[in-house]
Amino acid sequence: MSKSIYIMSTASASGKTAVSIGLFLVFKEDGMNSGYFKPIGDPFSDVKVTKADKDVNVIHRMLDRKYSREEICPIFISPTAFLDEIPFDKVKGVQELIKDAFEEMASKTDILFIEGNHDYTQFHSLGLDDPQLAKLLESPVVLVSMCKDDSDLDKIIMALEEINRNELDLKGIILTNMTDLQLTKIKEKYEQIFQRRNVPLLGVIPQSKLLSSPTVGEVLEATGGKLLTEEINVVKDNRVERFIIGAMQCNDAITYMRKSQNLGVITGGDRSDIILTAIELGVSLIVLTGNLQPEVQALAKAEEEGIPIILVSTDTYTTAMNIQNVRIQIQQGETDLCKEQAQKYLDWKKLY
Amino acid sequence: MKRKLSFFLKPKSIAVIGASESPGKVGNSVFHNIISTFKGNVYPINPTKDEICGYKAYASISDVKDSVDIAIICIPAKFVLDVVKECVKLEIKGLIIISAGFKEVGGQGALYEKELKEISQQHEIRIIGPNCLGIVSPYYNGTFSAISPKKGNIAVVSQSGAMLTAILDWAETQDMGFSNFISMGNKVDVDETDLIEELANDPDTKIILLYLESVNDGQKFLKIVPDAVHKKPVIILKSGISEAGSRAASSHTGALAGNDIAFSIAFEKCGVIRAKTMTDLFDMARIFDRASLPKGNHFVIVTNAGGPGIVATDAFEAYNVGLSRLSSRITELLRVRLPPEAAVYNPVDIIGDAPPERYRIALETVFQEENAICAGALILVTPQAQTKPLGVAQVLKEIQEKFPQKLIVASFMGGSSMVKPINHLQDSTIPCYEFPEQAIKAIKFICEYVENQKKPNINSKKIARYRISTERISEIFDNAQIDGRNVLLSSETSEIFRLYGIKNPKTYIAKSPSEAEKLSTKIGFPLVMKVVSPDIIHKTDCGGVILNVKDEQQARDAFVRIINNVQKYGPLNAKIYGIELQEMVQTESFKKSTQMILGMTRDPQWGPLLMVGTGGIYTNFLKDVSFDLAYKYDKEEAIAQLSKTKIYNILKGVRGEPPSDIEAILNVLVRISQLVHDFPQIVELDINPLLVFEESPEHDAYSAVDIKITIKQKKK
Repeated sequence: MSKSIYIMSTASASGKTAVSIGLFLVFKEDGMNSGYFKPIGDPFSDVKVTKADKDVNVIHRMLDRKYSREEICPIFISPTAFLDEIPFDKVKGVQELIKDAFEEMASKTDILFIEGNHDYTQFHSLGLDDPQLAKLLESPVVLVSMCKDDSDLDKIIMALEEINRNELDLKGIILTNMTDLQLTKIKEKYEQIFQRRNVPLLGVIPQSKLLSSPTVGEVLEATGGKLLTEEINVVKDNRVERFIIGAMQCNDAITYMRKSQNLGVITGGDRSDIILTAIELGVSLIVLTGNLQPEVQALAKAEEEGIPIILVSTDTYTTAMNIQNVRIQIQQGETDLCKEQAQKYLDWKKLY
Repeated sequence: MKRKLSFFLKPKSIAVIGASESPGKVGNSVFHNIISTFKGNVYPINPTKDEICGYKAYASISDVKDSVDIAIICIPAKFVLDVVKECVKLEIKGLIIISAGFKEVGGQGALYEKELKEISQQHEIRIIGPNCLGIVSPYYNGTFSAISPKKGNIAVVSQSGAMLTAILDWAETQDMGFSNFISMGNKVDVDETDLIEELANDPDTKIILLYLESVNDGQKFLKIVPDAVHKKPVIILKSGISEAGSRAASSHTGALAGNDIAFSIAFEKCGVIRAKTMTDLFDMARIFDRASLPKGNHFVIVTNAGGPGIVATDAFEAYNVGLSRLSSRITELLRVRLPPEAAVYNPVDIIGDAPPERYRIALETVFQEENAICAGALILVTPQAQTKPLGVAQVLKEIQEKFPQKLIVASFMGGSSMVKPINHLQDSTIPCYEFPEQAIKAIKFICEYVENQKKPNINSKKIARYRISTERISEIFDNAQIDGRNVLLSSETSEIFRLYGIKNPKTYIAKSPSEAEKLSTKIGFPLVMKVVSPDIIHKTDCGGVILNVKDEQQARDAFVRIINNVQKYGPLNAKIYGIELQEMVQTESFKKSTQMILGMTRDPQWGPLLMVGTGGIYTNFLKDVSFDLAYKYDKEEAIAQLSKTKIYNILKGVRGEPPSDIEAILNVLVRISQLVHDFPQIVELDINPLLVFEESPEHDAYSAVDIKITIKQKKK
């Protein structure tokens, strides 16, 4: 029986996939036949841009399609309507399905990284939450969490207590997406707290703009918009680090636009002045709301400069909220960065 | 060096590519206009015809064996590039591309235009258009408009073809003659600056009028236009002044409209006269076209009615044009020569029953004054019972002949009774206006032009430079880019300013409360603490600044408070680099302390635009700031800029206060001007506040307390 590590997190978008991929690649480079397993995946999206759970797709390709998607991820469950999909009397069957698939995959690998649900509480009412699944699979666990401020520490402590309650073998904790300020705070405060609880800190990964910003493709998917410029393949992986709403006078908007790199600008199609300024300043994306088509001149200029424009039918507030809630996924070309981060910031040998 | 454009104004031979015999086609209208107006050789190009309107037709431009100066292209956009390449090969000097379907339609059209631009950049050939009306002059009509203007001295250049046709049509009803009408279209090559330069050397043109929505290259304009203005007046109507107008201009041209303040300053620096309305444009054109330049800047009003005299006096005041103060000798003479009821001071009211001769007497008397006292007169004529307007018009002509050095401007106020006298003045040098305000505004601009002519060309100015080691600054910018930042950290701005000789307080950045505690002792107390975040523009508004921190414990507490405030009230997910600790300038130790703001924003068309004015947290509300372009900027420009603010008077010292260190402010402005020239990647810069204290012998009584620098993101 090979080793397995169950990677769970306190919140969604904490960096579990980046950590899982990073560890997978580091162990592979170290000569191990490493594997990846995701007990429960997100169901396929109906929107055309991404047709399946992207994490699974990325891993599937990373493994050179050695295993089928079903082997990597045996079941997909809706995160919002799971009670309709899995009646309580079917839960046991699901657990068996997961266990079988896990054992099958474990038998083919030296070390298997299991990526948990969006957060460790998800599917708790079905008994399919991460701590219960880790127990089912008898797998040691690693907790991944962001720690933007002290309130996140509360979440970490709660998760650690849940891990203890389930008598799981905790290998350690990994803090992700850390700002400079938080790095200092970890050294001064959090490290001691973890030490007092005998929780090994396996590593602290600093913020990576690349891994924490949505792509044009993801924004397109989140807004249900239409790309007015170029083919989607040319721009879909471009990252957008920050968004502003261009509703102010143009001269004021310039000040905001100049301050950020890889900026996305949300504005109306009738604001040619804002659109042209954004193009001139070389932003990464322009999102036009309210289905207002831009002037042909502005569109031509955007084409010329290679700046994507998305047209959405929603109002500006709704659009901004949709973008705020966009789920950021690891892109195919970013797996090397995940490996580099794991090598540089994680005490990965402790997982042997 | 691109070829000069004189061949466009007076070509010897013209080919019309797309010439057609079918009425209604652009190629038909253009060819018809050419053969009806042009005296040189004409070559119609059309692959399907042997002859067009009696002229031998050629299948292609290459079939023409004679030399062709210009080709006018009016074929569909998709065929234009091939023809242009052929013309390049044949070394044709210039093209007027009337065809539409380029950038203005986007998509494929934009790609055609991009290629067209590349061709024009790589070869000597000059291109007007595409998507333009063409050129029409008394020499030839190279447009599809049937109207040819009356011969005269005014050249009109327009970014809008429709505006040009409207003016052409209107001009027929006016007493104005024109030398050229040129439509620039999409300005793929020839732009406004090229045309101003060419028309300045055109002997047939006395005045250059332009209608612009944008300027292609601000720096080129600033280099070239001042020379042209020294040769003849350049009057520009630049639309898009209002926010909504600016948006409309962006939509229309596909170009950024730029900051209107920057346009005004650029025009002023070049000596260009800016018209704000279409009416202004032609009112100004009329005075420059007709009259000689005045020899002074004070004028007399001669009127036959009190009311219009008062209106005119108000307008002189409003437009800041000088009213002559007549000498006692002249007023005495007027008293003797005019009826006792007449007013003999300026305005000279010769009263309602004035016959034409009374205008003669009044004018002959006031014109005895030297030009410095009386450079001319505004004549107001209202239709009263005894008024003989035609007789007055005749008298004015005779007076003008007798006093050619004096500027006479007339306003015949009224309706049908004034048509004949106005027409009578058409062949004179006396410009005539419907209402006095128009006349006075025109006088104002002709006087300003005369004043500008006395100033040296701005480009002749030599600007002294401070010797600065710039390598370290480049390194700071590179590091910020690597770090993914457009906004510099305070430690970086502080270093850059020190390298440029601008004083600023000692600053450290703390990343934790304990670090803040430690660093606070290095600075000393009291101190100021501020959040360091590129995402927070107004730090005070979200609780990101705490003043007067008095000890280590307060420094520690302030760190936590600022972080909490910013997370609660600041922008969502603002990136915080730390908390800055800065020496707090002790203003109490000075007799006078004034908060100033100094800034720079890089205008997309005109380059660095400097700002100076009242600083502090009320800056945005007081709006007491003045702007100038950092072009040929020295202390002379700096003081002129500063003196336009209200705070300037306070800086000079009021109510017994000592004067502030104005020289220090000027030094900082000039150094900033050099900094933003040396580093074009700086797109915004702000010092708010710049604390300025009472004047010091070393001119260093100031401190640049809060500095922000934003740099341009490198294009991917």
